[in-house]
Amino acid sequence: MDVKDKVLAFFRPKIKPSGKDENEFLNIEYMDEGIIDSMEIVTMIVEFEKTFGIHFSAEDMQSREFRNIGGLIGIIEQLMRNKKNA
Amino acid sequence: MLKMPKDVVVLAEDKGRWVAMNVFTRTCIGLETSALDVLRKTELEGEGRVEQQFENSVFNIWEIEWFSNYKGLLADPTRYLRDMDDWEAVRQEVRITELIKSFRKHFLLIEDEDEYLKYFGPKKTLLDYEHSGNFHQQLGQHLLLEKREPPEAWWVRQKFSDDHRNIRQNLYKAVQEHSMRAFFSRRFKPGDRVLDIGCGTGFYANLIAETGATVLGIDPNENYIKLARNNAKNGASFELCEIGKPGAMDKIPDNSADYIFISDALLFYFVPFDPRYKGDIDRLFEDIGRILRPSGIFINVEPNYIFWLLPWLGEVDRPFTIMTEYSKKVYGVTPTISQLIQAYSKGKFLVASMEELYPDPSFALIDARAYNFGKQFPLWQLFELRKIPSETAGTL
Repeated sequence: MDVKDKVLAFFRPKIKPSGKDENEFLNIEYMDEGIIDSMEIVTMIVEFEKTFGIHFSAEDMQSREFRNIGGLIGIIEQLMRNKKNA
Repeated sequence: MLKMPKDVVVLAEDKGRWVAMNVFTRTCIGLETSALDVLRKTELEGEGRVEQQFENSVFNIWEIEWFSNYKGLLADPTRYLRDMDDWEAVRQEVRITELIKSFRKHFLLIEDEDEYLKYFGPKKTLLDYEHSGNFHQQLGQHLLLEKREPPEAWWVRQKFSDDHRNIRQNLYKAVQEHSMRAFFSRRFKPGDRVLDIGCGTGFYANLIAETGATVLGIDPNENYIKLARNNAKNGASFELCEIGKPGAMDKIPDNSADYIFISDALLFYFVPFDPRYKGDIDRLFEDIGRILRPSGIFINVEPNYIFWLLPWLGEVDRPFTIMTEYSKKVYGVTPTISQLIQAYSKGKFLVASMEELYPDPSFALIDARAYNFGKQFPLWQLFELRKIPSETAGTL
């Protein structure tokens, strides 16, 4: 499973089936749309950090991309690339 | 075209350095004089021209801003590293483009006034960094996302020692504990019955019990009640109680308290920590009125409605501050004085006395800046309130 699959697997059970195609799914702003709440976001962050062996910086979390599923996948992929190149 | 909002002030620091601070966004940066010159020049001459002019220059800046209240609710709220020795670790040598980027990041230069004004509002979610949010929201965001700390644990840790038996050596101790010890010993006597609503871990309930009074502490937090029971002094007992929920205090009999004590709790009825759970202050006052005997006294200690959370500026021994809001609070979380007194009146209480609380002089040796600020600008107030007799209620 790659990053995208794992992140989607996290969100899928939380989102009611609504016939969304993948692009729509990736654009979901998961907090603004109430898919996860303030406590769940902390769990999510810790879970992804553990799963992917990365650390989200304050700047990562402050970025606009962090707020939607597709952007989040992009940030995780970038952090993993940085890890590999370090 | 970039412009410098009129909300920016520049403070002179030692070693020829400056702090440029936006007092509304509470953001700042440390600058050497040449970088400060660029801040003004960028507005006057335009970004492009300044970038050209300083193409080969390197500037020293210091990223000194931090969420200083993380250290404690009553830690220096000015949000920058005070000690110049600590500046070295955050020094950056930057070129002109990074310098201007940093000015924008700290709201020292803005592109558009309307966009800038949109920043001042409540955060919509924990991930919302586009709105300033109030103090509670910023604290929650900082604790959960940046520090990954459960807020509940932080609230206790920042105030109490690890064994929860003492208050840490900060303004809580110097102002609150110092004033409360003096107040309790002159107010309470053996045999008095006191109800401490929102007792937390029971520190003040235990101090009250030391006067010989009998105290019942109630709190909705199970962990706090466990800690309170473990440390209970003779005469103090603790019960879990969902304060604020209808009927929660029904089991406490009518006219059963000579005094009711509440500290640092009413503010949450005006600006709740979590907007989903706004307590009903009218219901709370109804309960207090019922439980308090007719000639009893309701004692309420709250963070000062003005000075709490304002920056501590100026010389250590000559403090000043800048106030940016009072009646329409964006950042602040305390009610105005009229909101508080009107809530008391509506709850059928009259102010019998009010005092502002000041630090213990011995604290001057521990933290002179905090002491001098707290001595000039009180950080708490204490109200003593009496029930309005039922025959006169509504005739004022």
